[in-house]
Amino acid sequence: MSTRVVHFSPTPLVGAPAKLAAAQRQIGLDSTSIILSDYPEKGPIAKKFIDGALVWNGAEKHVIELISHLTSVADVIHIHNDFPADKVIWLRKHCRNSRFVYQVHSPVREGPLYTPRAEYIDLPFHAHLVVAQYQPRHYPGYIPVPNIILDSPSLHLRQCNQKLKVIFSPSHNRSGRWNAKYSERLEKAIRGLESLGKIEVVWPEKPLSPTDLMALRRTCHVSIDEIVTGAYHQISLEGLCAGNVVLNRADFFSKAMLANCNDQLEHPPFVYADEHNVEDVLLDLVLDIDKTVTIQQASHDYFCRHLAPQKLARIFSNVYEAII
Amino acid sequence: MQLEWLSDFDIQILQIYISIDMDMLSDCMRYVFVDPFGVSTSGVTAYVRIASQRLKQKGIDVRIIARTKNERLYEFKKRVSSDIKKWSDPAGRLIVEAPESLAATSLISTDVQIHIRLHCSRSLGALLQGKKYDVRDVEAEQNEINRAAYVSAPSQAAIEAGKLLFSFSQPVVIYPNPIQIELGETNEKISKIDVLFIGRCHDFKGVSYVIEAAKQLPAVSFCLACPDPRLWPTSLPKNVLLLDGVNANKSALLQAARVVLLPSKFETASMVGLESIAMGTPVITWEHIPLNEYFTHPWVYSAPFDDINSIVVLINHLVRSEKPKAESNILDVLNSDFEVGAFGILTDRLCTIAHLKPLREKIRNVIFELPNRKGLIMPKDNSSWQRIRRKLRKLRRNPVGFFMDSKGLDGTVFRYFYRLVHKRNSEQPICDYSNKQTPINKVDLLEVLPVESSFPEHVAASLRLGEISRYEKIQIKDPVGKAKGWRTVLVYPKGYVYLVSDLTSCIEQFSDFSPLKSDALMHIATDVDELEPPVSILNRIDLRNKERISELDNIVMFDTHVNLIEAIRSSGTNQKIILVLTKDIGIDFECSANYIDALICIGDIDLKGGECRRTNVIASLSQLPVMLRKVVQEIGPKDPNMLIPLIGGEKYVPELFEFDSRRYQGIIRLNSRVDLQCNDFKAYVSELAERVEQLFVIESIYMRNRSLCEAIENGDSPKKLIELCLYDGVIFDVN
Repeated sequence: MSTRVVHFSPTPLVGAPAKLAAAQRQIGLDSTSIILSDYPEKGPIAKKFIDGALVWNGAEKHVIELISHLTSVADVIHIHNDFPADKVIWLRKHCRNSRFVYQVHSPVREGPLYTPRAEYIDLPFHAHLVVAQYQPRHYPGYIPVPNIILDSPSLHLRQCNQKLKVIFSPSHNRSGRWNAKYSERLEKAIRGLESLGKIEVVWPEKPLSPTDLMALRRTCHVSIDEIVTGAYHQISLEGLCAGNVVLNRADFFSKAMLANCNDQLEHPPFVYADEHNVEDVLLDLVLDIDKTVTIQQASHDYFCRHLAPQKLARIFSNVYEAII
Repeated sequence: MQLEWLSDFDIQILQIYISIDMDMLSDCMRYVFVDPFGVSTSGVTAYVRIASQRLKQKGIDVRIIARTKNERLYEFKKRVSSDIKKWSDPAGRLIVEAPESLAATSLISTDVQIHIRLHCSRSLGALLQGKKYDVRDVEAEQNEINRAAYVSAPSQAAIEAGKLLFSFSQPVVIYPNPIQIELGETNEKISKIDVLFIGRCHDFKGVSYVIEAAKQLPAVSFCLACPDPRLWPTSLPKNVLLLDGVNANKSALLQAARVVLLPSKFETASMVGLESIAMGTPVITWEHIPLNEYFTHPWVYSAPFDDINSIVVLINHLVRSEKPKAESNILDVLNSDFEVGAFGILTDRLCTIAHLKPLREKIRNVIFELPNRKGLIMPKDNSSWQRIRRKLRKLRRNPVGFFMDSKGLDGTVFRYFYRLVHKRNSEQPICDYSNKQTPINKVDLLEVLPVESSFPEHVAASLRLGEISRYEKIQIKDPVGKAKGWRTVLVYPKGYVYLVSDLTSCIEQFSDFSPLKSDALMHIATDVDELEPPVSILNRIDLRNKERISELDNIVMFDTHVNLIEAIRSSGTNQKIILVLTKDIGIDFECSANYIDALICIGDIDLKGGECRRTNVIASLSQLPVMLRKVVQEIGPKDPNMLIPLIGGEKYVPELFEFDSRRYQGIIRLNSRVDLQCNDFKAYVSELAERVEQLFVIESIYMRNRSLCEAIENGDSPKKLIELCLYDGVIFDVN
């Protein structure tokens, strides 16, 4: 019988647990993602990241019964980020023989967690995981695991005399060392190059669904993640999937953690850019079509070799097997 | 002893006397004590130590799982769970005893028999002091009580108080805690003490009553033996002698005293009281303290709660009278009663003991009166059964009225608690920490010691950013000062006013260093329970106050426990913690390195294998002003921020000339790549550190991590420095 896994997350976490559950289903696990509550209803990203998951808050009674049933028969309960105490009590009543896994997605000293939370959740976790981006430096004893991109890889190489097409979907301004991704300088650089006619920019005015964004990304040559913190995010992985040149400021250790998830230890082909050189990096790509094409190909190849969803899902399966 | 069963199953408290046959205890019986505190000053730890010794003497296989000094609660619970699993024997009987506090048994499997012994949880203590507590803690503790096979308590008062927060679906058996006294040599200084107080300097221990009594009785000598004499007000009456309670000979003190004063606002068992009586010294206490359940005159004298005049009268009377003749068997009887109760649990034949055998008649009257007043016991005369049944009906229909009308000891106990809770509830519901929107009104139910100001007098109101109290929302004012990178605040326990006052006076002399001058240096006073989890403190800080904390650059904390340090440091990314330790308070530096940016110790302190980024040791408090200035100055912003070589600086590196500290804060050159998959980040950095050929950091990083950097310059591995820098968000240029 296949392993039964239930993922619980307090919020959608930009769809990461749901994608993980879907990837696990692709390799034969009986996996479900349950979100305690969606993002605020009046906010810009409500309902955008709940595809493929059950939302508990406000669910219809049959859905709640289903959640109870899935929990009671689960072999593995996989908790993401945080879990409220009243739900812990509920969980203890409903699952008797499950193994518990904890996975963290957020940094310390900033919202939403501020400090490691696993020991306060009062569940006997058998494994502790951390997304293999910048977060492992805050949770050095946890197992780094990759975020999963479910889409199939694609590649639309830039053609001769084709203007460089750049997609940029910035987050709103927040505070903190790792949450503060906004760069006014980057926005000015992009607008400046666009107004000079050097680049074509896809810059959504409002948040789009992941499906819409990915469809647009496939038509572009360059994906710009953030260039402030030194981390990379899901946008970078989506950019690799779409065969884009991925611009970010990911430092050595962030890339090393992603490399650690593949047996060849190959670093991703991100292109370094920060606030001091982003114009030069973009101009360099504008003027050198061959370079753009080479990096696009490298992005596509890297994704196919190392980031296929089934391959990454097996990393989690190995963790589960070790604890069941 | 005769077996008397109570026939009505509505009864919450069973009083059953049974004769225990020691042969019933099988060889396969194992008893485990769980101590989630593990500190010598904890009543639970003392109880576990003595109780385990007594059971061992009777041939029981006893184990203790005690929390170590630096062990996190969750790690401790996991250890309890795994140890119990190891010791479980399907052929034998295993019972695990734990206090209700902290729900230490929550990770133990459901097939293990748990015995919860009521010791007054922290939440209950908070409630009784009119303070807030986390309902999640209570839920977790209730969960353990619900699934416990046995629940016991040292007194009825413990049960009544417990009912304020918990419900008991199973019978709660009562038997005393065991007592152990070690006789010691007397000391000339303590050869004559009229009134002795032993306990912490805390208003819950009733210290205000002790001082008030001393003031009203200047001709009577008082001796206060407390763990930290420095925390007492400096201006005590002249007839008060202050002793270091940790190092004092307790039995000698108890013997030498004419009377022991026990003015605690609540006790479950009052070990000090029982020890005192065992040493032949009478005790003065309040009517509701459970010592009254065990003893009456000539050993226990009680006054109505809060009636200090009655206390004074009783003291006057007793110091002029002769001490009663010591009864040598009191200790044996108490311990024997403990064994009977404990063996009842072991053999699953529950037994309640709440009396002292030699004084059985007097005490029995009190104890039997309690149930009679409640109407819960079968009287000797069966014809009174109807009267009992009427009282039971009243209990079911109007429990509040039943107890309020009661004239006996239990009525006194109940009325006291009822006043406490009712007054509390009429002003503000119990605060639920899971709801951050709950407005919090401060309610002081009980008069507290008229504490001196939390801040030195000379500190301006605008520089008093606020107070971090127990269990209440943390609110501080906006930090003053515009010089980014230099905003400094002193954070200290309320009892440190004098120390801080002296320090700030000395610092004022540094006219060339403005961040520490009296018009810039900010202050925050604290009174935080060292056992409160850091995440609980963090949850008391809302987003706005977290931002305010993050606007502070240097937070100088005095003798602060790691829970508050972690909460404050985790609130934001900017602030740096400078910890000043005037004594060893048991910090685990191996786990706390991420939270402490600089450490100033007075005298050598054992870091217990841990490493601190920056450690400065001074010989005495007089050197603190200079050292504090040095540390603040050195870890402050640098301009220019030069690159400093730590490893391989002698080699030419072209990148040095192009180095831009806005992009990177250090350079790492490796002689080879890390060529193996690592289990975690720690292992990865460990592998990388072995391959470092060159390492440079900017001056501000060097100064912040000076101790680690100097160690690297002397040949140590750069592993710890790299880990901590990355934790802080430092970006290295790695090639």
